[in-house]
Amino acid sequence: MLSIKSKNLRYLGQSLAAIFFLCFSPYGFSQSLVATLSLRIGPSVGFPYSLELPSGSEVSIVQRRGDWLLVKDQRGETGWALLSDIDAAGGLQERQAWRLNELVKPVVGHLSGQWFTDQSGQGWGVGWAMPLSDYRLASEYQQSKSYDAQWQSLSAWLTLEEKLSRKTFYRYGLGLGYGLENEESHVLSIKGQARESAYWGGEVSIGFAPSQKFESGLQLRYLLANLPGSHSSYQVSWYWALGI
Amino acid sequence: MYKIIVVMFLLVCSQANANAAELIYEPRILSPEDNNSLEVEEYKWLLGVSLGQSMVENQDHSLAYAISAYYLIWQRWYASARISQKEWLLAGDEQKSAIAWSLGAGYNVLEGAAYITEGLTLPWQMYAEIMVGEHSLDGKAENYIDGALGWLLNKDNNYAAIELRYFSIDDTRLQQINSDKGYQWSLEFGRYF
Repeated sequence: MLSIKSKNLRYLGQSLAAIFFLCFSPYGFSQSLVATLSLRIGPSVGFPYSLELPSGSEVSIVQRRGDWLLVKDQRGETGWALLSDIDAAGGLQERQAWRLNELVKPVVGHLSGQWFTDQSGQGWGVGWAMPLSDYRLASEYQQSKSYDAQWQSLSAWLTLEEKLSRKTFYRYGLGLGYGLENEESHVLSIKGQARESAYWGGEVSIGFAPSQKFESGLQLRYLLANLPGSHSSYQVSWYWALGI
Repeated sequence: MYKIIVVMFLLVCSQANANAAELIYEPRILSPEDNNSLEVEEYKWLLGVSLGQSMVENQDHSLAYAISAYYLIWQRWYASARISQKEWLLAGDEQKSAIAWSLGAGYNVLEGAAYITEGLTLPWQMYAEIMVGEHSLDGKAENYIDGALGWLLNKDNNYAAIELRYFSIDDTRLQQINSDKGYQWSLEFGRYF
């Protein structure tokens, strides 16, 4: 009877130890390298090499910064290597490699910020852009306060994108907006006249998008006001957009 | 006889199905799984606080405080956002507090390793950044632009940086006393997230 109890206790102890090991083990997994892997001191090609791990080393992945992974070997030595290099050297579990390479959540739109300059001064804007079939629809709020000149505007722009390379592109399209300006501003009116008016315009931009999560570029716009004796203006802006 | 024909028909059908199944291209589908061992913590943000001193004509060297956030975009490029606070001396020796916010982008121009002690070598980066935004002084907001050059030292997920920033503010009140442009040095400490 006593021996059955002690046997049960032993099983219980072993089970608890197994559960503890599974839940609190410091390493999720480690992978054995099938080729040598050179590690750098930081996550970029500009940093010098710090360590070379021989084939057969047990490695685990600690963290990621972009395409770079922090690798730790069985002695606790760490260093950075490119995801593709680690994968090629057998340092990633198959499912993990797939997950790191492919599992990217698609963005629903881009939240954008911009700094712009026109005849009247310089200012900033915020906006939201989303894909619309083959086009891109962006809505924006802009304001500029340069010394005493003030300009505020709400606009919407429909553009079409063409790729220049894998990471660069240009866009062109048309927009409609409504602008308000004071006496000192002369974006769409003559200096000395405070005006508010609807306007339309054309846009050409060039940018780079290293990932679907971020893009930045330069934008040139021509604005034409719906005022008697039409007035026009050019606007150059530098924008950033974050995929959400 | 009828039974034999039915059995043969079924056998032929099953063989045909088996052949058809072999012809169908079945790519290996790896579904995302809820397995912690596959997760790799990703660090894309840096958040830091800084303390500095400005060097502007007709102003005392008052301290400037700032909170900065950086987003690692691609390779050596990053986007940055910053809110800073500083005291200004306006005409008539009137002291006013100003808050500036700015957005911009930066590039790690140089990267290297700094030997600190035996067994401790840390990565460093020299960066250049340009930021644009707004400077709000005594209830009036004006355009603000700056450019900085800095040196950043990493230790695990922490960093310390020293930088020199040149700024320009479109403010007539500061322009009148020749204080609309100047330099600022600062020390920053932060962490990767």
